[in-house]
Amino acid sequence: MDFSFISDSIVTYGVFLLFAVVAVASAFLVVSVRSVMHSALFLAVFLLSVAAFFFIFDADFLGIVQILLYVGGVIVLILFAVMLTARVSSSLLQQTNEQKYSALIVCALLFIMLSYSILISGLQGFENTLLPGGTAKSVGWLLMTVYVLPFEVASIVLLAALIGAMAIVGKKDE
Amino acid sequence: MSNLYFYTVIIVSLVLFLIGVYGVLTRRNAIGILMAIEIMFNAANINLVAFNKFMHLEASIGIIFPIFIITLAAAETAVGLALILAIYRNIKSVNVEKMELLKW
Repeated sequence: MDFSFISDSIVTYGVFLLFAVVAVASAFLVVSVRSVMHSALFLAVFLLSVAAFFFIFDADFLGIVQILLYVGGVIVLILFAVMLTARVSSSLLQQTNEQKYSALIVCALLFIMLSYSILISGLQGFENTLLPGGTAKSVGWLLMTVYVLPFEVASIVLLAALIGAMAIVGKKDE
Repeated sequence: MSNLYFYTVIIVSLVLFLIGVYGVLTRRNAIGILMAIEIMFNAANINLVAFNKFMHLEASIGIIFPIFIITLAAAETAVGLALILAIYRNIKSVNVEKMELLKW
């Protein structure tokens, strides 16, 4: 069998569409499902499909960071918070407020406006084939040279967030 | 072909962002709002990476910025969940409609 008529970019486009369906469906379930626990688990599915997008777009380093930080860290944090507040987040309670329909109208109007302005913008996209063998090397080089100041500031922000989170939630002994 | 691909990526990230906006507007649970904010961050990251791939900028510039966004989102989630737990300890609720102490 000769498959040479299938070009490389059509295959990537098909894989992208597959993961796009998964991402949109799971994101919609995150905001609409009743139980907060289930919505946290759908958020994990959504974040994994975003990591798949990053791998499709040749950003392999970013995909690994996404899996490690989001699926490994943030989801665990959110699951702990959901379990600690389980009594008030149960699925028996109404989880959405009464502005459901007005919010839908706002989102539909925003969608029409933004997609119209994207479609008339006349952007010309073409595939960047400049990055053979992944981006980890160039990302590391840029982080240590051009973007070294934001890199260090981000580390200070992380330290401040760590200490701040402990100071807010820690028990005060009186 | 790659133009269609590019526009599909932008529209998908737009749809994801608007789903996040819808979640922030309608959720009553503060943890649910935090999760919707994560969806919006990720939609923005998809957009940045797609522009890096399709608009032929200087190599990998569009990948540095999402790294900082992911870092700050992790910090934001940690502090936000700590705040939610502190509020839960005081008013025994995570419903944002019950958090009215500073409301005039």
